[in-house]
Amino acid sequence: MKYQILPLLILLSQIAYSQHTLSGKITDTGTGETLVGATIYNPGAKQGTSSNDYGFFSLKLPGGKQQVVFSFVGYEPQTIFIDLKTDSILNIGLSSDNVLSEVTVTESRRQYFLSGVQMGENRLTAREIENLPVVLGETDVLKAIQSLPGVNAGNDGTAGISVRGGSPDQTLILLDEVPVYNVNHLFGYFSVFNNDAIKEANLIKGTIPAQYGGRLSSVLDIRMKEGNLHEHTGKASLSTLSGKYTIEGPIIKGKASYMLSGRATWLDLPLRLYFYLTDNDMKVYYSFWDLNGKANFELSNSDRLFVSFYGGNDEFFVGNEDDNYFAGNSSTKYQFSWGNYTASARWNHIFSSKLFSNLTAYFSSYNYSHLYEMKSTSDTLNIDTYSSLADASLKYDFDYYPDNAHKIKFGTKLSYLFFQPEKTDLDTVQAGLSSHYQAPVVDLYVNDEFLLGEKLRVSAGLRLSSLKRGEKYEFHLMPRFSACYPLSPSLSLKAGYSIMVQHLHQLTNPSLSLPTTMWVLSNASLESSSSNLSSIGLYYLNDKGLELSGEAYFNTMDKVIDYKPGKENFKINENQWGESVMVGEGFSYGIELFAKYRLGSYFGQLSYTYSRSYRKYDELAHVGYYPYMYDRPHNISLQITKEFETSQNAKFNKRLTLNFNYMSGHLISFSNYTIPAILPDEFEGYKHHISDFNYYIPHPNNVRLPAVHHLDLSFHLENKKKEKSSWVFSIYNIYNRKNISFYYVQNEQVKGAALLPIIPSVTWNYKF
Amino acid sequence: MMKKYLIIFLGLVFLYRCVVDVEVELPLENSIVLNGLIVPGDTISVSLHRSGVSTDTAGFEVIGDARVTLFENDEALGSLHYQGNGIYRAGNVAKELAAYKVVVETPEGEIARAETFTPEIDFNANITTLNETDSILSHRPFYLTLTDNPDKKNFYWICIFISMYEINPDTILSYRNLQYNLYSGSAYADPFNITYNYEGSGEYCFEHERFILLDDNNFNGETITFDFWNSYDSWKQDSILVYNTDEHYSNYLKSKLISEKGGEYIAEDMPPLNYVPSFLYSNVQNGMGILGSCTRYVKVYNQF
Repeated sequence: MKYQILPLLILLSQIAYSQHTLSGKITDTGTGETLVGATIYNPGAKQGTSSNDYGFFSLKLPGGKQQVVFSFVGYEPQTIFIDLKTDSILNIGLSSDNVLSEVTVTESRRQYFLSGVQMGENRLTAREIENLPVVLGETDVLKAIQSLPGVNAGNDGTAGISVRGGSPDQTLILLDEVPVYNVNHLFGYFSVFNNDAIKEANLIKGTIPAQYGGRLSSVLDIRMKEGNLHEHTGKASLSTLSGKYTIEGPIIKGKASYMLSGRATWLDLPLRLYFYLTDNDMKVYYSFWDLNGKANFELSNSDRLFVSFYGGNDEFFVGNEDDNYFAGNSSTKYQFSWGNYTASARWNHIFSSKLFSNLTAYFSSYNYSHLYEMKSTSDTLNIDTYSSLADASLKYDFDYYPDNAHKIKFGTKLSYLFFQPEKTDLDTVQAGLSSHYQAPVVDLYVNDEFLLGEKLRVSAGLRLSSLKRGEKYEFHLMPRFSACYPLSPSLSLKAGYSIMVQHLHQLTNPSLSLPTTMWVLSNASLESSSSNLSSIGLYYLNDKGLELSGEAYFNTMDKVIDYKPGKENFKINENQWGESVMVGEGFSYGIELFAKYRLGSYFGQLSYTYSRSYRKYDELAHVGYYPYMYDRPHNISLQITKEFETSQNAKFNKRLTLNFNYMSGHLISFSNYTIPAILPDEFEGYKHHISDFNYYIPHPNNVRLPAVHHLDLSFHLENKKKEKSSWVFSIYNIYNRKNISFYYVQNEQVKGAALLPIIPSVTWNYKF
Repeated sequence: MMKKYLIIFLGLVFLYRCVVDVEVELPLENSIVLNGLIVPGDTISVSLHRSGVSTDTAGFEVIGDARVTLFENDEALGSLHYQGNGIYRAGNVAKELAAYKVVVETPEGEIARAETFTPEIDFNANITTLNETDSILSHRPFYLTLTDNPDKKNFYWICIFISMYEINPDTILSYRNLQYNLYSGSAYADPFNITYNYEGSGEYCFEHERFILLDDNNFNGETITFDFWNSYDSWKQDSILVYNTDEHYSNYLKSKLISEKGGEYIAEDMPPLNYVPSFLYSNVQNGMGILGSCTRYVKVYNQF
C-alpha cells in the first residue's frame, strides 16, 4: 500500500511546487501606451517584478490558482485571479481615469522606492512636467528635471543641466534610445524636447546600470508617446513663445498607431514687424522649429516595430538681405544655425516567456554653422565656420528572466562616430587644414539583478567599451554594482559603485551656453575620461505616503578636458582643437535630500542638495584643485500644488502650483589684482603701448556671483470634457529678482545681464 | 559686428534694461611674482615682487631678502645676488639648449620655482624683401625663411621697430615706435591678435596687432617662407625682430596680449555675449610671473 501512495505524494508535491511563468505586457487602457516600471506582485508567494522599458514582464508563479496584483503610479491597481497550469501570457490594461485622490501607497510605489536597487533615479511623467510654472508659457522637461535633487541649471533660466557638479556633456540624454547631442533652443533658454510629444523622462544619476554607457555622471532617458492605439486624438497649444500641434491615433485599430507633433516659434514675427515698421536697413530674425514623429506596429504577439524620428533647427540672422547696407558700398550679414536630427527603428521580439529582445538601429546628427559675409563693391568675403557630429549605431538588448531571483540584461552596441570639431572656410584665404575624425566604438554589457539571501537585493553588471584611438584599439572595463537592504518595512538602505568612461567631450564657452559648443572625440593624443562613483542612501516611505530619501556620493574623475584658460571662442582658424584643450582630473561630492507628501488636496515636494565639484589641470599646476564652473554648493527646490475641489457642474478642474528655487551663484573668473610684466630688452626706448603690468586671475572660477532664486506660480484651468480647451496662467519670478544669466567685465567692474525679470504668460491648449 | 547685432536682438526681445553692476568679494592675494627672461649669451637675471593692485612697476612691493638659487641642467650654479629694485643677477652667462631652474625661498618660508629651456641662438632665420628701396609701394612685403628644428617646439614672434628720422639716420630722430599694424594672409600665422581683415595687394589678408606669432604646430622640420608686411612710411628705419622663444614665454606673451585687448568691448553699456575671461599664463609654482627664454634675429631696412 505504502508503495502505491508514494507516487501519488510525489505527483502532489510536483503539482504543489511546480512553477509556471506568467508573462505579458502592461498598457494604458485609454491609449494603449505601454507602461514602464509597472509592478506585478503575487501576495501569496510574496514575489514580484516590474515591467521593462517596453511594458513586458515575466514572473514565475506557483501552479494553481494565484492572485496577481498589477499596479502603476497614477493608475488604478488591478487584481487578477488566474489558474496557472502552464506558462501563460497575460496582457493587462490599467486605467488612470478613476485614481483615488486620497493617499494610497501602492505596491508599485513600494517596489520602486523601497525595494528597487537603483539609486538616484527620478521618473517624471508628461503630466508632472506640465504641472510646473514655466517661462513664456513653454513647458520644458529639462527645466522640470532641474527641480530634482542633484541637478543644477547652467545659467539662470536656461535648460542646460549639470548633474552632481558635472558638465552638461556628462549627462547622456536619450530620446527614444537615441543620443541627442544638442538640447538647446533659443540660445539655451528652452530645450528641444516638445512636452506634448513626450510620455515620460527618467533621470538616473546614481550607479548607472550596465545597459547605459558613454557618459560620466548621469542618464536622462526620454521616451516619446507611442500614439493612441484606439482612437484619433490631438492637441493644439499656443504659448507666448510658440505654437504646437500634436495628433495621434490608430493606423490599424489596436495593432498599429502613430504620433506626430510639431512646434515652431513666432518670435520672429514681432521682430519682422518691428523692422518693417521702422524701415530699418538692418534685419534681425530668429526662429526655431522641431518635429517629433513615431509609429509602432504590432506585427505579431511576439513582435513589435517602432519607428521614430526627431528633427529641429534654430536660425539666427543679423544684417541686411540686400546689398544696400553701409551707404551702398558694402553689406554684412551674420547667420547662425544649429540643429539635431535623429531617427531610429526598433524591433521588439519575445523569444519566450523568459527572453525579451530589442534590436535598435539609429542615426543621430548635430551640426552648427555660422556664416559671416561681407560684401563690398569690389569683393566679397565669406567666412563659414561649421562643426558637425554624426552617430550611426546598432544595438541589441536582451532581458532574460531565468527565475524570480534573477533579472538579467545583456547586449551589445556598435557605434560609428563621424565628427568635425570645427572647420572654417574662407573663400579667398586658406585658413588651414580641416579636421575630420571617425571612430568605431563597440560596447558589450551584462547585468544581473538578484536576491542574495532573503533580503539583500543586488545588481551587478559589467560593461566593456572599445574605442579605436589612432591606430590602436583601447578597451575599458566598467563594473557597476548596487545593492538594497530593507532595514524595516518602511526603510531601506542602498549603496552603489560604478566606473564610467566617456569618449566624447563637449567644449563649452564658460560665460554663456551658446550652441557654439563643439563635440570632440578621444583620439591618439587625448584619452577617454573616466569616473569612479560611490554612493549610499537611506529611503523611507510610510503608509501615509510620506516619502523621504537622503543620498551621499563621492565621485573622482580622470582625463576630463576643458578649454585652456584664455582661449577665445569664435576663432577664425581654430581647427586644431587639440591645442586648445587641457586635460586634468577632478572630484565631486555631495548630499541630496528629498521629501514628497500629499495631504488632502495639497501635494508638495522639497529637495535640498549640498554639492561641491573641483578640477585640477597641469596647465594650472600652480593653482592645484580649484572649484569647477558648475560647483554650486546649495540648491533648494520646493513645489506645492493645490487641487481645488470643484462641483460636478463646474467646467474646469483647477490647480495652483507654487515653485521656489534657490541656487548658489555661478562661479566666474575675475580679479583686479596686478603683477609687474616682463618684455625683451629691445623694447626699452621704444613706444610700444604694451603695459608694464598685468591683471591676473589667480585661478579660474575664483569669484561667486550672487545666488539665483525665484518664486513662480502657475494656475491650471483644465477642462473636464475631453474635447475642450484648457488654460495655463504662469508668472515666472514673481518678486522680480535680477538673477544673472551671464556676466562680463567692463572697466574693471563685473556686470551681469539679468534676462529673466518677472514674466507673466498664458498658454492655451485644445484637446480633441 | 556680430555681437552688436546680438545685443540689439536681445534688447528687442526682452525690452528691459537688464544689466546690473555686481559687487564681488575678492580674496586677498599677495603672491610672489618671479619674472625672468633668459637670453643665451647674456647674463641671467630675475626680478622678485609681490602682487598688488598697482598699475605702475614702481608701485609693486619688492622682495629683496629672498634666497634665489639657479640650476643649469639640474646642477646648482649657486645663488643670484640682489642688485636692488627687486633684481637678482647671476655671474653666469646663459647657454643655448639648456634647462634652467630658479628656486626662490623667502624669509617667511615661501618657496616658488620655475623652469625654462633655452632655444638655439642661430635658428636659421633669414628675411628678404623684393625691393629694398622702393618707396612707391604703399606697403613692402618681407619674406621670412625658417628651417624648423623638428625635435623642438619653437615659437617665433615677429615684430617691427620703427625709427623715424627727419631725413636720414644722421638727422634728428622723430620717434621710435613698435609698429602697430602687421599684415599677413598666411595660414601659418596664429590668429589670436587679428584685429580685422584688410584688403591689400589684390587679396585678403589680416591685420595683426603688433606681433605675428608662428608656432611650429603648423610645420615640422621643413623650411618655410612666410610673408608679411607693414604700412609704408618714408624717412624711417625698420628693425625687424624675430624672437625664438620657449613655450612658456610664448604662452605668457600671448596671454598678456589677449588680456590687454580688454575682453570683448563693443560699446559703453552693451554687454558682450561672448565674453571670455583672460588668464595670464604663468609657469611659476607657488607664485606668479614667468621664467622664459628667447633668442633673436634682427634685420634692419632703411626707407630713405
